[in-house]
Amino acid sequence: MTQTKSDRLAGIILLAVAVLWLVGVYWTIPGVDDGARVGPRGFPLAMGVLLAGLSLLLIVGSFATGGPADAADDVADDAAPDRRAEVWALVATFGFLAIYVVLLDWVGFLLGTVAAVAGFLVVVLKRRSPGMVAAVSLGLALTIWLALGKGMGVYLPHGTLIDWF
Amino acid sequence: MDVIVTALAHAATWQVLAATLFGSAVGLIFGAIPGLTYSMALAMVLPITFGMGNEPAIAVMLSTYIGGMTGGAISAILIGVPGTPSAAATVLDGHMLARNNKASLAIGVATVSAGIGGILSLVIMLVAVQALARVALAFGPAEITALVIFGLSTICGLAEKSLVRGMIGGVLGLMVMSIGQDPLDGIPRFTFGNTTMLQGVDLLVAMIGLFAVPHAIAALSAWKSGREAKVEAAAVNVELPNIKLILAHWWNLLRSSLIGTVIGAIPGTGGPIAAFLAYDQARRFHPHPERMGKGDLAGVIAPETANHAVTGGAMIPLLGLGIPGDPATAIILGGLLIHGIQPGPLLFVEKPAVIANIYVLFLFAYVAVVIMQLYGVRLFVHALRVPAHLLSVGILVMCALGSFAIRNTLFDVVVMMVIGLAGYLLLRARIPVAPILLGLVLGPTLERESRTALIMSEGHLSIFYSSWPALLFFGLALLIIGGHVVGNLRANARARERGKAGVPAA
Repeated sequence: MTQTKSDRLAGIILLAVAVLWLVGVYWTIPGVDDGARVGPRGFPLAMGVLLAGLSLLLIVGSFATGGPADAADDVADDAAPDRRAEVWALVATFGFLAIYVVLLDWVGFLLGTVAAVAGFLVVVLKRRSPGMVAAVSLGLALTIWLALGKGMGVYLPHGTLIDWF
Repeated sequence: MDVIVTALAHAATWQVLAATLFGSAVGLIFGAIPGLTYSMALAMVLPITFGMGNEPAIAVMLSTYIGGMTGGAISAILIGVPGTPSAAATVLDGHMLARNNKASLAIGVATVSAGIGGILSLVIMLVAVQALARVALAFGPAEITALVIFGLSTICGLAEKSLVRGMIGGVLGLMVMSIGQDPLDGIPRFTFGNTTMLQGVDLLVAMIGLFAVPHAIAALSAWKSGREAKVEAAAVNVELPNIKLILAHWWNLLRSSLIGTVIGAIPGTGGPIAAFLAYDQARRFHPHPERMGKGDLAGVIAPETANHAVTGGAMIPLLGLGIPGDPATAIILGGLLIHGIQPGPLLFVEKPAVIANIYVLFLFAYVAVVIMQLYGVRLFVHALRVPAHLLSVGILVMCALGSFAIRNTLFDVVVMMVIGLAGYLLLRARIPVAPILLGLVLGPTLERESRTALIMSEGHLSIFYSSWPALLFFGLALLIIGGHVVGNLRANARARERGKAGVPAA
């Protein structure tokens, strides 16, 4: 995709976000009857209108030839990372975080961190050495637990199903 | 002078030195870990000070505050995730320097700049505390609104190639921060009946998502496609700044110190605004502004000097008027009251020795933090020896934990994920991160102060142009925006002429 097309697509998506935002502001935030002051709706409404206007400018700019200063950059996005690797990284990152949140909620910080990190090392990073997997997952979890949880009194998540530590 | 010498003699005890080292270490650790804040560290150390004498207690509080502020630069430079909101502007050039194998130099420069900024702000505080306190009092909601608008005008400089994309980023940041309970009327906005959402999106959670998640995705993506940069253990350079290098930036240091001290003296503003303003000024005065954002030391010096000068500036309303400017100074104020010290104008008249003690302990705290961090550089840069894909696991764990720790709720981890995904998509759409950050930082202040000003004036806009500070800052903002728009139009015209003449773009 060229950068002009990418700008156009981004502009359309942002315009849709702005319209949804404005609809949400109108329907869910009450205004104030007092015309002399700005109510809770005023600021988000202004931001939604600004975003809509700027998105339109982005779309119009992508159609204008020679308009924007960066039109000269309108080349294929060769610098972009490998698409398959990028999608894989997105799934790996958000998959890890989603599973980690669930584990923190169910089994608490220590068990949750050991399980999530060990799982990530084995499944995503294909580390097969049990010693390395155990050292990294246990080392990371125990260091944080001891230094922050016990040493500095930072509150760490407790499990709702298992609450050992 | 005699009072200062006496204060020095009082402070030079092993109890005070130990307290300063302890506070500095706690502050540095809390500051360096994204999500753990120095306000949290101060709240944690405050009960420890109850059994101490006045000097060690003040030493612990001040060094924790200063250590926390300084520690934010470590993660900002090493992993590209600011440890504190004040270090957000440091990421722009600091992390680029780390990627160019100059992490130790960047941390060293950040540390020395922090020390210079803090100590210069102390000098300014010494000579101008009463005058600056009066200036600070002249700042009401309208003047702070003007200052924030001036701060937002720096988006022009941070917008990289396209002003429109930069402004989109800024507006998105402002929008995110308007989610939650309305600051004046208490009306829920976009909370969808969820009580956790009433508190809105925490600034640090948003910053962690915005920086850490795209960083992890990029690291994993590079590893998967075999494009990960290999770092040999011996290749991680430990290089510290020398005096010549620091002196070469004397004007940047002085200017940023002044910006930080003045901004710090205005309650309700704080480090992030000062850091971004100083960064923008450094870019304007730079002989090669195009180098900023690509790993230039001036881009580390300016924000770090300014956000540390804020610590001295913040002491001005705190000590001179008894007004804390942010949560951290509010905790310090609480600590001072517990120890029988009542800040305010009378303190300077009735107990000058206490004021002198505070100045000396402030100086001690800076010296301790700078020494600890300069020694620590050799340790911190070892993090870069871990391959990026493995480091990303640790970063994700720390960021999830940091997001949780701010309000002790897993909901914030989910918010961090959502903002991380949005941040990644925006980066792919070439929306620059810095304006988003600026919107996040300035959004709550802009809304609260502008609406308060309008309530005070019963809806009349004249309040925004009826005082000299408001007029000054609005005028400066207009000048910056106008100058940038004219510059862009000229650049476009030149590009079109070159296109017609068939000359390739420079």
